[in-house]
Amino acid sequence: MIELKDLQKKKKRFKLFLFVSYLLFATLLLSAIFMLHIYFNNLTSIKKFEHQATIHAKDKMEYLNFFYENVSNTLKAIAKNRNFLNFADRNQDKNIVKNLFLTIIDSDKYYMQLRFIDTSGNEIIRFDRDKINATPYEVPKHFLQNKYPRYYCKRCLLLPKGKIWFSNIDLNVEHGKIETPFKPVIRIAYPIYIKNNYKGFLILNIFMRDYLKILTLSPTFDVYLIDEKGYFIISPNGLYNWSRYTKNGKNIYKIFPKYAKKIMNAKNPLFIEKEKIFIQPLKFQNSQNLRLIYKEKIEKIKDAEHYVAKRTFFTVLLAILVAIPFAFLLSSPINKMYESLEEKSNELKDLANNLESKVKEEIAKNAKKDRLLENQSKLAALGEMLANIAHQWRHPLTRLSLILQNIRLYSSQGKLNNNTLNNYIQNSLEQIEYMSQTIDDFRNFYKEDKEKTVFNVENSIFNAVNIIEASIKHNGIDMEIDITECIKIKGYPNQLSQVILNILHNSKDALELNKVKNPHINIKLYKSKNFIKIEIRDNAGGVPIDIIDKIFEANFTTKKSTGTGIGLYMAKTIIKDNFNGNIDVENSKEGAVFTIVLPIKSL
Amino acid sequence: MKILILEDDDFIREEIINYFTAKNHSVTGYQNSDQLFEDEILNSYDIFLFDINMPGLNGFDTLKELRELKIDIPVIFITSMSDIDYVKEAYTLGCSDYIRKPFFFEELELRINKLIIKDNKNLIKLNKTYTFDIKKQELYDKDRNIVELSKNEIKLIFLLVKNISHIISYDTIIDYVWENKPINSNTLRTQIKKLRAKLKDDFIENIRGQGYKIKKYD
Repeated sequence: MIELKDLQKKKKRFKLFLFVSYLLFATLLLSAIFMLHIYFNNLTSIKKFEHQATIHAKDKMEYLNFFYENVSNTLKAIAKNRNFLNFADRNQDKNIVKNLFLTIIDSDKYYMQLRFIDTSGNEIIRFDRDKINATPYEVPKHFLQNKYPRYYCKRCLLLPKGKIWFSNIDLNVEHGKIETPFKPVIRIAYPIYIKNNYKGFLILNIFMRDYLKILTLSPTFDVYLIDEKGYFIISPNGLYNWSRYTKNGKNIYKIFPKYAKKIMNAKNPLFIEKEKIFIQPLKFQNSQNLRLIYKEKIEKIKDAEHYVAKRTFFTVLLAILVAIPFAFLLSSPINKMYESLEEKSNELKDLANNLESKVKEEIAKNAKKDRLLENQSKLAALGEMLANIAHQWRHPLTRLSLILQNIRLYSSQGKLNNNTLNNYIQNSLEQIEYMSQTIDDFRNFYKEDKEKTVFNVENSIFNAVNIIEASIKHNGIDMEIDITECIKIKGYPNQLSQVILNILHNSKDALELNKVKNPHINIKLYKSKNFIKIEIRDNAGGVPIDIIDKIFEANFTTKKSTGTGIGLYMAKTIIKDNFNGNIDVENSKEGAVFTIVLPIKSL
Repeated sequence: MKILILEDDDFIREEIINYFTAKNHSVTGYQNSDQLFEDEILNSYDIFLFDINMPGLNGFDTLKELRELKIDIPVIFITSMSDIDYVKEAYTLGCSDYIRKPFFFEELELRINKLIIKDNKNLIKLNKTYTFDIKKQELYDKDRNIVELSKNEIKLIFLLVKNISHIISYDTIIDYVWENKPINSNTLRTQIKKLRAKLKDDFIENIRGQGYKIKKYD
């Protein structure tokens, strides 16, 4: 027996285990779904980033190119001017040219300096603007310098015809020192050739602060502008601006160590998916190699991270909340199983405690049931007996009735003589005698056997046949009895007769029900080894296969209105208990075959 | 009235015959259907009384066979079968009535008369003088004295009364009255002459070349 305490403990432990498992399972499942969602979300956000950065960068590149082209055109326009050419060639129209220079530099607030430098490096004409938006002015002659030693001057004196030159965007240097605050400047030069003679070059300095600002302006991205060496010109929040000139000189190799090479080698727009970095190379003709680097704004990343963290938290919370009822629901059937097990175990315990009284109770119940069955059986037998008597008596009653009616008729007609009357009376007495005999037969038949006696089996068979004969004949059933030898056994002759009668009754009912043509019943008695066998066959089609196993069970009947289901059950009980024999049924081609097997030992 | 009884129990059959014979009817009894179907003038009976349970063809099968032979004489089953299923089958097969054993002759007679005489009257007035009692098979004069008649004469009158106002052919009359005996029309004519001699007021009408009839008298 299962210990109750143990079971309860196990139940608790199992319940917890089950609950936690379900909880874990549900949480993991929901989390996994969420992670997947984030992953795909991320994927789309990457695509979105690339798309936006591409458009943005292209825009900026075009902006810069436009700038380059514009300033180039400005210089080219001067170079085409007749007065300027006269001036360059023959030093004529100087005032006109000065005016022209002033007009040009005045036309753009970002123009810092416009000069004409001859082939020796001497500044010939120079107009300056000190700061953005300030008024340009002409630098007096005595302030003009020879720039030949400067790198850009040497570079520009080598320019071929028609080729424009762009300096790097660089910080303005005054007196050999970088001017602070930083003043980013670009120089653009254009050579002046007259009839293939190099006469000098036009050079325009431009304040680049605002251009760079616009170039790197973005609401959505962190934008870096790097030079051809990988140093930062512009960086988000100015952190690494002009790093080439700062002490610890941060460059791209330090900030993006993994991808620096890739970035520096990029000739076309490049997207590094893993880091969400977009690189836009900037190059106009022979200008400096610059690169714009786009990165998601740090605040935005932080925002997103925060958002993800928040969402994760709520999702997990939700998952747990959902998992709790889920776990309860799923664990409840098994829990119920445990409960019913517990209940059963309790019952078992109770049962063990009062097994004795229970057994007594059940025995009493069974005895009551058996008595009930017996009574039912007796009632059924009584009913059958009455039906049989009715059959047996119908003819003698008819005869008596006819006799009496005829006596009355003859008497009324005065035709009743003594002879006729005597005949009628004699006949009537015979009928009455027959009827009385029938009653005796029946009474004896249903009499209880007080003790075992040695009896002739043949007699038992015929006693049964006598009872039912009238009814059998009445139904036109042919009955054949085949008894070859006289067999005696010890037992209860009336009980055996009753069993046989019961089987005959069933056969008769089946033949009648199935409206069998040429109905017949065969009874055969014979010895086989240590047994005697009584075989009763009919041609009523047999017992249906689906009920053949049940026909000896108590309360089983196929006769809806008249059957009590006692007959064959009692028959089996009698043969088993009182004769140590057996009764069985099988189907032949024609119908049912009941076989009663009795051991001869009982003699 | 001519009655046919089919009953395998000798005693019962004989007592029924005794009763109806004593009541002036002409009764024929058969033990089984084989005997019955040897009867060549089955159509000349007024009523059949059949048992159901018999060796050979039972009552139901015999009735079926009769109907197939186009013999429409009414049949009453007299049987110990009391189950309603049997009653149902009997009526399905076309029996006219059904009576359970043991039975009262009076009841049986009532049922027969109901079948034979449709308007339920026992006494049929034939003319001013004579009246015929179907139940008793007797002819009365004006003063309700019984006219003494032979069995054949009663049969003849009953046949014509049963088919009152209809002409009954010579052959039918010969079959009914003399049954299987070889009789010619002269014998019939002689019989009629004899009967007329007994009557003061003749009610039998001769339709030349066709047969005889009794006119309805109100």
